[in-house]
Parts: sequence; structure tokens; C-alpha cells
Amino acid sequence: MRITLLLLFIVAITFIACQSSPVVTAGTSETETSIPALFERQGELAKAVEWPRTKEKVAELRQKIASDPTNIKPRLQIATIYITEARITGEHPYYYPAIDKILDDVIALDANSYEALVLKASVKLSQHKFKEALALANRAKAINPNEAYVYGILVDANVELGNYEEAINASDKMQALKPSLESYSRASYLREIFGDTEGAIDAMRLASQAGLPGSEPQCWSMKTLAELYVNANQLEKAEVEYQKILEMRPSYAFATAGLAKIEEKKKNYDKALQLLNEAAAVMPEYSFYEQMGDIYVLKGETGKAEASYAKVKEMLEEDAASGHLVDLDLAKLYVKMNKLDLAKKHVMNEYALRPNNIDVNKELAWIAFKENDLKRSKELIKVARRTGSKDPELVARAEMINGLRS
Amino acid sequence: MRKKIVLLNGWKLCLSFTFILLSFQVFASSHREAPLISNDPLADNTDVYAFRSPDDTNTVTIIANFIPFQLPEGGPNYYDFGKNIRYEIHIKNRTTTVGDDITYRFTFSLFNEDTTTFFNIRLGKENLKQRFTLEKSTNGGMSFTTILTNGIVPPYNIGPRSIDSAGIGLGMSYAAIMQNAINNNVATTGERAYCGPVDDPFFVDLAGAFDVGNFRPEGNMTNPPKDGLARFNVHTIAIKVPISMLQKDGKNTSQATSILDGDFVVGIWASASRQQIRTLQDTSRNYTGDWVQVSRLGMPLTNEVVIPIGDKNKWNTISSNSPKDSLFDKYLKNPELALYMDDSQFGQAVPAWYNLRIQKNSLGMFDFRNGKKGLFPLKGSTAVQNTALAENAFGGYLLPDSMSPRAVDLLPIFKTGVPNLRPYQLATGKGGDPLAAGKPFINNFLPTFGDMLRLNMAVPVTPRNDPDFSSLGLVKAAVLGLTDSRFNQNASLQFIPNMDGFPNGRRLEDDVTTIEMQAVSGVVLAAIGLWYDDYNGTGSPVTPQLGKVLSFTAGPTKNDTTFRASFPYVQTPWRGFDYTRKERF
Repeated sequence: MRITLLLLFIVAITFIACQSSPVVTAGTSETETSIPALFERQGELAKAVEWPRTKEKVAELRQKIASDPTNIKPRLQIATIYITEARITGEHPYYYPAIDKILDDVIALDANSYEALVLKASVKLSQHKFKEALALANRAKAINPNEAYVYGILVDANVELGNYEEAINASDKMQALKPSLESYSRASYLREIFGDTEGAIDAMRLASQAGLPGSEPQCWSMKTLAELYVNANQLEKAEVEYQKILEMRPSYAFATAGLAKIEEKKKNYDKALQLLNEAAAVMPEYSFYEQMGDIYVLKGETGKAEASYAKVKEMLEEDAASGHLVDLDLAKLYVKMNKLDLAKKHVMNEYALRPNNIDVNKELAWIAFKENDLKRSKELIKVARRTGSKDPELVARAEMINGLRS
Repeated sequence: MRKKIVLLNGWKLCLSFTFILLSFQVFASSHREAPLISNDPLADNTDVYAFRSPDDTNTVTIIANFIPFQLPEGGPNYYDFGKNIRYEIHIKNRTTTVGDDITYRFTFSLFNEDTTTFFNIRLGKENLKQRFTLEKSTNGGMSFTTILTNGIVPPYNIGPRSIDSAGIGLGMSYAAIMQNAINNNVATTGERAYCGPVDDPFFVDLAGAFDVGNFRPEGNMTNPPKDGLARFNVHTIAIKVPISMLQKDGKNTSQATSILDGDFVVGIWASASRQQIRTLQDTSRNYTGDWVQVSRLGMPLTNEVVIPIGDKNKWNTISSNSPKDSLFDKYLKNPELALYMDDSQFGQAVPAWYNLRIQKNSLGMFDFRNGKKGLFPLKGSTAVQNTALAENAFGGYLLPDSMSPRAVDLLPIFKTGVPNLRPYQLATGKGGDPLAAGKPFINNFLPTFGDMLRLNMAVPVTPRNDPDFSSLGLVKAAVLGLTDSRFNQNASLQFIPNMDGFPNGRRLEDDVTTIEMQAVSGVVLAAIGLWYDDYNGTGSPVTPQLGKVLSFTAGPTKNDTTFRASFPYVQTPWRGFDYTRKERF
């Protein structure tokens, strides 16, 4: 019998969650363990079948910690559960500090806890704190260089910091350790960054074929494959991928939003907006509202566009309050809102942290161009294009900055 | 505050939740939120079995299972073997060669005959078809010969209208569809194969096991044992091979010198590999990278309970019959599980294991707890001369140092097989000296190191309807050899029922979880005369402590459904349409 232990741990929790049992209220023994309590779910989420057992499981783990405060395993289990709860509930402002505290406590007990370091690095990635993630991942790698997981973090952090050579090395190492959906998708992303669109499509197709049919990771890779097709203007292929996802998971909002993108490209703006509203009803993802705003701009409905962008701003600021660094997203938004001063302020925050990232340079170049600082704009767009990315927006902006397109 | 809402209702979605938990946002990364962990069930080798076919004893059946936890009602996309995966069964039958002596490689295709329909099966046609190619190598994987093309993989057991109904469905019972596939899947070299969905034959109290061994033994009426794999399907790769094809010199069992003839031992393991790609490729755009093994399995439970989390990726990439596998020997010499059977460690932490203790003063002198000396004081002594423990035999391996007590029993069980040599014979006839010659009961020794399932193909088959047939496998054979008057009167070699059971190969019925738990608790040591601490040298050595170990069960002791009487022996898959009519427990 061989099943990944982590999977089995999760399965075990899931099975527990799926069995009926009395509800045990968690969070009553906080002082005993110094472990932050579960955040009480509200509304529909509180009715979910796994919630009572999640509470019971956390209570049991807290009890174990209370009886043996030096035991790091239940602490790591609680951190894992809290990461999941953060995702399910969206209560990031509560959970991220809580998870940080739990993992810091584990690291204080065992500075060489690989699990704690990679979990903490993963959370830092989610928060877009890439330097911290990179440092933690490097510590974890020094402890255990044989797990593919840590190389995934290294790829992501290095990409975001603009350390592309390091990212490629980490990706190659990840491939050698474990070809998988996770590693194929990272190769795809790097190929795309380096302008190899067809190669990126090949790798993402492999990634999607490596996922369990209908699983969310597979849907994610199919969605990303479809986006590559969209960028390559292969709309029919993209549509097939999105439809296949929706056959398996009708509520997969990113696929619905992807179909909206196709309709937008076909200038079927009303249909696109309808699809985006459907997607937003499933998941209040900020990019859906941003896409709506873009379509309203295309339709010339300025007021509605502004309302959509305002919604995006509100959502991004919520994310920022929960510890996410969202300056680049805000900068892009402010450019769309024609608030260049604010856009520049935010993108400079990012530039200070990661001056080599091509997306950051792209945005800064565009702002400089809009400010008529052509010299600076050309310098920055050169940096942004140094990997040869064929990102349509990047290519179009570069052509305008370099006077090749009006 | 913005909410990301995921509603989960009902059992089916609970399983989806399993994967959601592992999905991209749980361990979300940056930018595109690529998954950091999603597992790879299509390549997940869950179990390997190898046994002499009970109804065709000139053959051995090998089964490798993949893609666990399949919900039978999991439409619209049911489960299929992965297209870009090499599924392999590896066989070692020689000690003079490096690597595999025989490798069977299965590769699968999947195609839609009719893309205009939503249904996998309709109007008597199977629209979504999976087929396979079987290749064979007998030169260490240097080259492969195709021995079967267009092998049939039956469709998923969707429901009666898709499968049984004439006209709209295929018009055959699932058993008939399965048999048709078997009849078709005959290799040019004579092997038969079945690849497709089946009931998952393994049984284990998963929820108990991963609640730090909180098993619910049989007989517990208030909290009965629960088979965590009950009513789940799995994908099986089964192959029936003539023994003469597996035996290193082409012999059949009638040519064996005894029922324990060491020339009939094979080591078997299975694997799944995916192809590595270069992150940045050259202009060829071909996936010409190495194939990397991402999953392997030989002995059951090695990966779960022996290999620590931090070493699992590495362990999975290494071939079972590679010398590098020895990197993991340390986890067998002092197994983590033994810490919970040792009152000087965490012995009180797992109440369900209270019946499992380890000898700390066997025969008044030998301590087998983690880090203790075990039989090391005998190393190099005259007492071990002419035994497997002698330095000029395998003493350096079996008695490596003064802190590896289980190198003497768990290491050979998992890594070399156990020889029919002193002291590895039953205590029957030993006269109280564990190092003396006793009654032979196992010889699956293949002195090439590796985590393989070792099977002596010369050992006769125990009929499944034999009253002595037991899911305790070799443990039961040992009990019979020690206590049953039909077998304990002398030290002569006899066939004792269940000598063909785990860990001499692995039958579908074998309760490997219980057997391995008993083995970690030292039952093999007891069987060869290194009795539990409460044996005072007189009377029956089946003392209360040994009795407790033998009565221990890890929960369910048999599969939740029957096995078939003929190849592939695993049962037809659970049918989606009926699935919810009966609760899992």
C-alpha cells in the first residue's frame, strides 16, 4: 500500500469530516496551548459537512499540544488546517498571523523543521512576500534537498523576484526529482516567459494530463492551458478546454471567466459580461471585476467601468489588509483608472522589492511612457523584454514605446 | 470581508474536498497560483500482489494497482490510466545480474471515437476507449519487445444501462466484458493480462491508522473496524505468467528440488514513471528527457510506515533493486513503529497497540527494542558458526552493529527475503536453542538487496477453501508449525498451510497490516525461538504475551467483497449507478 502520506493525512481528516459526530466547540483552551483558536465560520460555510469535524479535530490537536507542548506534529497539523480554513473562508487577516505564530513556535522548538519552513514559505508566497519566501525555502532546501516541493517554491519566488536563471535551475531540479503537474506547469510558465509559446502549451498540456480528471489542480492547469491558447489567438482550442472544465466542474468560475475572455475577443461584450457575472456569483475574484471594467471601457460605458474598477480597488485593499502585497495589481488598476501618480507610487513599491521582474518593469515603463518620459520608458521596456516574452500586452506596449506602433 | 466560498455537501463532495485541500490555493504560490502539491493519483502505485494462481498453479499472478480512492459514481469523467506514464512490473530472478531480469511495460492510449456525444457509452458503442501496449524486456531494460498491442481496457462500470442493457448499452454483464478483455489480452509470449477498473482489494482502517495507529480491532462492537477502502475502485494491472517463464532457468515447479527450492525465488516490484522535460528546450520540441520513476512499490506499507516524509520523493525515484535502496535500511533496523511498542519510549501513547510489545529480555538476555543490541553480542562467536549470522555468511549485514536490533529480522524480511538456514527456522525441533536447526518454514531468500516482494514459486498453493487457509499468511504457518500436532512433531520439512502467504509473496486475502504490525512487535523472533519475556524456559512458549500478539488485529481482516475464482481474482468494479444504495460502513 503506497499512498503519499500527506494525502493520507488529508484523507484521514476528510474521512473524519465526512462522518457524523457530535459537534465539539473549539477554541476554549487557548490559554492552555497558546494556539490561536479557529475562526468561527458564519452562514453557509458553517453548515458545511466538514466544519463540525474540523472543529473537533482542532480541539483534539490542541489537547495534544496542551499535554505535550514540545510536540510539533499537532502544531503542524493545525497550521495545515488553518491554511485550508483561510482559503475556504477568506478570513486571511485572522488566519495568516495565526499561522505565522504557530509556525514560528514550531521553528522555535525545532529550527530544522522542514515542514514548518516550507509551509511558512508557501504562505509568504501567497502573500507575495517573495524575498521572505525565498529565504525560507533556501533554509528548507539546506535541510532536505530531496523533496520536489521546495523547488516549486524556489521557482515561484525567483520568477517573481526576476531571478530567472535561478528559477530555471530550480525548475530543472524539480523535473529531475518528480515530473508532475506541479513541475510541468512551472516549466510551462518559464517557457512562456522566455517566449516559447508552443513549448509552454506542450508543457501545460502535459501538466493537465498529469492531473486526476476533475480534480481542481487539473482544472487549474487546463484553465492555464486555455489562457495560453487565448494569448496565441487559438480561441477554438481555448474554448474546448474551458468547456471540458465546466463539464467536470460546472462551478469552476475561472473557466467561465475564460469563456468571457473569448467572447470579449469576439466583441460579444454583453455575452462576456453575462459570463463574468456568473463567475463572480460563484467566487468574488477581483480579476473578474477588472475584466468587467475593461469591457465597459470597450463599450464606452465609463461610469460602469469606474464602478467595476472601484470594486477591484476595494477588494485589493482588503487583500492588502490581510497581509498581501498587492502593489503591482493596484498599479495596473490605477493605470486603467488613469491615476498615474497612484500607479507610480505602488509600482515603485514593487520596484524597490524586485527591480528585475519583467512585469514590474513593463508596468513602470508604461507609466513612464504615459508620462512622456520616453528615455526612461525605453530603458525599462528593454529590461522587461530581456527574456523574449511574447506576452501580447508587453509586445504591444514595447512597439508603442519604441515608435513601431501608433 | 471578502469571502471565497466553497460549499461542500455530501459524501461525494467530501472526496472532492480531499483534492481541494491539496489544490492550488491551499499551498498557493505567486502570480499564477500554480499548485505546489496535488499528488499524482494516476501514477500512484498503491499495492503489489504476487501469488501462485490458485486455479492454475503452473502460473503466478502479479497485480499492481494504481489510482486509489475511485468513487464509482464519479462521472462525467471516470478514471483512466494516464497516457504519459510508463507503468512497469519488474522481476528479479538472478543474483548475478544488475537491475531487472524481466520487465513488463504497459503504456496506455485514450481516444474518443465519437466526440459528438457526452456519453462514454451509448447505442451499443463504447465511445471513449482505452487501449494498451505491453512490452517485455529480458535484458535489464536495454531493449523492449512488443508482446501485445491493442490490449483492451474495459470501460468503467457506469451503470446497468451503459453496461448490461442491449441496444442502448453494451449488452453484457461486466464480468463478461472483463472476460472478453482477458480472452483478447494474450501476449505473443503466452502471458495473459487484465488492465482496468476493479474493486480495491486492500483492506485497512485508514482513519484509525493515520490517527496515530488508533486501530479498531475486530470484535469491537461499540466502535467496529472500518475498511477505509471499502466500496472504492482502483485500476489494476494484472498479469498471469507461467512459472517457467519467471524461473531463472526456465524450469517448472515439478523440477524443484523441494517445496522451498531457492532457485524458484523471484523478487517483484512495480513502478510508474513520468518523462522529465527540460525547462527551456532546444528547437526540437520533443520530450526526450529521462523517464523519472515517481512511484514504486515492493513490500506493502514500506512507503507509508517505514520511509519518513522527507525522504519519500527520493525513495520513489530509486529502483527497488538498486544498491541505493540501502540508503533506507536504517529505517528497518530501528523502525519508528517500534517506539510505540516500547514502554521505555512511547509505549503508552497508542492504546490500540497495547497487545504489541517487543522482547526486551528474550531468553533472559536479548533486547530488541530500538537502539538496543539485539543479537549483536553473538556476533563472531562460535554460537553463530554455520548459521546465517556467521561473519562468513551474512553476519555483517544481519548483525551490523550494537544499535540495530531489527537488522536480524525486519531487514531480511523486507530487503533480502528469509533463507531456510539457521536460525530462520521454526523453533519446533530446536530444543530451546534458537540457533539450532528447526523446522523449515520459509525460503524466499534472494541475496540481492532491495525492497521487493519475494516469492518462492515452489511453495504449494493453499486452496482458498482449505479450513487452514488464513489471512495471517506466514504467521499462521508458523503458528501451525509450532502448535498443531500435524506439524509440530518433528523438524522435517513439511508443507504447512499458508507457507504461500505474505511475506512469501502476497495473496489478495493476506492481512498485511496486521502481519507487519505483529512482525514489528517481534513475532518472527518468537517463531524462531527468541520468545517473549514471559517465557520462563518451561512449558508452552505460546505465553500470554505471544498470545496477545497473535490475537492482535489492525482492524478489518478481510476485503469488503469477495474475490473471483479465476484470473485476475480481483472483483469486478463497484457500479456507479447503484453505489449510493448502500452506505460504506
